[in-house]
Amino acid sequence: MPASAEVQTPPLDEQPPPQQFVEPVPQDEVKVSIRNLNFFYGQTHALLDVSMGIPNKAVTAIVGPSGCGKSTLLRVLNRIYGLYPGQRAEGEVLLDGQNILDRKVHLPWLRSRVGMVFQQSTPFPMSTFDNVAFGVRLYENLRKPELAARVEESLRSAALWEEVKDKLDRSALSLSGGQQQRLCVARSMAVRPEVLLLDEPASALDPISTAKLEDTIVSLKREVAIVIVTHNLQQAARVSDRTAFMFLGRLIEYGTTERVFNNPRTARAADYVTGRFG
Amino acid sequence: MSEALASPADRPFVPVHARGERLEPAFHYACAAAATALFGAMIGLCIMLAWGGWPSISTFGIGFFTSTVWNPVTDIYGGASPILGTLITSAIALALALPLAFCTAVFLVEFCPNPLRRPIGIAVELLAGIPSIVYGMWGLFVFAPLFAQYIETPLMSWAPPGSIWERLFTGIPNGSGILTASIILAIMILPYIAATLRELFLSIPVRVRESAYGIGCTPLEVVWSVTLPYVRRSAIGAVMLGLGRALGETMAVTFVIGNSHRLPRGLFDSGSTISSIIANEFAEATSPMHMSALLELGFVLFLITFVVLALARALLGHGHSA
Repeated sequence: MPASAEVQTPPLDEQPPPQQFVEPVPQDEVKVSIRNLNFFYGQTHALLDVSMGIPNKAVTAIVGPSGCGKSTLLRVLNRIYGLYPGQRAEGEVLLDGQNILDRKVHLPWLRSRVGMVFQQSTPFPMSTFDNVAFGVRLYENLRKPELAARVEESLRSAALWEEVKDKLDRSALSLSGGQQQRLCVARSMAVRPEVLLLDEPASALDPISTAKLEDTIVSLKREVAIVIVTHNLQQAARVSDRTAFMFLGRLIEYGTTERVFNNPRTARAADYVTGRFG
Repeated sequence: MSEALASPADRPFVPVHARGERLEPAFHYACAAAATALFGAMIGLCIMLAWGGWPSISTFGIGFFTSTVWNPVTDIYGGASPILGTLITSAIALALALPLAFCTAVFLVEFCPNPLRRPIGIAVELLAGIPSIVYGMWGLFVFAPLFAQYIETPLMSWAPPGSIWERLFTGIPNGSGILTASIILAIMILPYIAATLRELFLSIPVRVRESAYGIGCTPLEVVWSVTLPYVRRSAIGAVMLGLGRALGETMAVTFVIGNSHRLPRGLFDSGSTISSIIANEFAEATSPMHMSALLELGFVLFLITFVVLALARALLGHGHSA
């Protein structure tokens, strides 16, 4: 059947759902402002004109089906994509008003402000203590007691301190998977970042470890802006304040988590959060 | 149940893998035989060298290792000079090659622009495949004259009399000698070490490198603090591979070391290594004692290699496990 035959004029009181519905974040809450971001893997156009604000001291979840660009968006925020030739971003990403896509941005400085935790835990081949102290030693010349205090503080903030305080000298690789992942959170937090990026941090964890990690995330938002990419809608609903739904490289819907889940305005987001696809 | 699915009872018992299972014991024994033969060959080699060298070992005793007299006319042999020559040239070669190989591998993995990555990688591997006699000829005919003219002569005339430099740069500025041999050796083992290190660096999971960069490391910090510790064990293996080649390398060294039985007085002086002595003299060793002394040298080289490997393992055992 030709497509034109399907077009029907909707009744006046029932407008079709919009293709895109993005709630603005109040200006004084914005930590990171993404403006007309486009991203390319070589010839592949992976992000199309994404614009959104990421609030400070809150958890923003990015959800969507596989390949929708949510991880790509995350990887722009600390420019980790720059490790790979052929990947490039266009547009603006303002961190406290400063465009981080600018060539002149000092990458180690950016990454000390925007930390990242990956899908699979990545402890470095050294002791638990050294793992957490690793990033701190890169930036600060702390004396031993200060460094030890920072390590303890970071491990506490990742809810790991009680479990590892007696074996800080042991190799981090001897920790369990869930502990390793929280160690990676602690390692990122030790540098005192302003934004923490989490790329499906719980997808390789068992339910108990996941619950602990989620508690950690919720408590960390007192200190930093958190952006979490997740496949798990319940997880997004549990931990996040705002939710962004992406589809095929576009930002389709963005707003408070409660509103996006209970009252989605776009058809695609409605289908996704009600489990009709994805 | 549908008719397509015959019940197990109806199906005749013919194991599908019957042929493969018959081969299984043969495969098992073939593997065992290959490994055992290798071990047997090593033991046999060791015994043969010790047996053949026994007249020399019993005659000269420990003096073989301290004496530098090597006199086929009087049939008196001491191996101090080639043994020392082997150790010195290999040590210098490793010291020269290791930093370069490390930088090459890091460049290829971390910094190299994509279009250059393959050509340089292939060049490194080709370099590892060049036969050593080619290196030897190149060293003698091309490298040595240039080295004599532009490095040895200026350095010798620069060295202040009585200083440590003067002692270091003692020798004849003809391009052959300990340092020339060491440099040629370094060039030979460099691609081995570089290629192996590169493979090791590439084997590190992407996420580990990304999280090191993600915490704000510079490339040097990533390599030094994260990727190198990650491959520490295998990296030492790569270095040992290079050192093993340097210790045993024969032709290239024989070409450029000068082949003298004296203890080298300086870096530019001519000397010898165990393998260069054996290569030079095996054909003309007519007296049984001469032959025996050469075999004892071979035995010593075998032991040195063994000790190097054992040391490497011991070193590895002490570090914290990665």
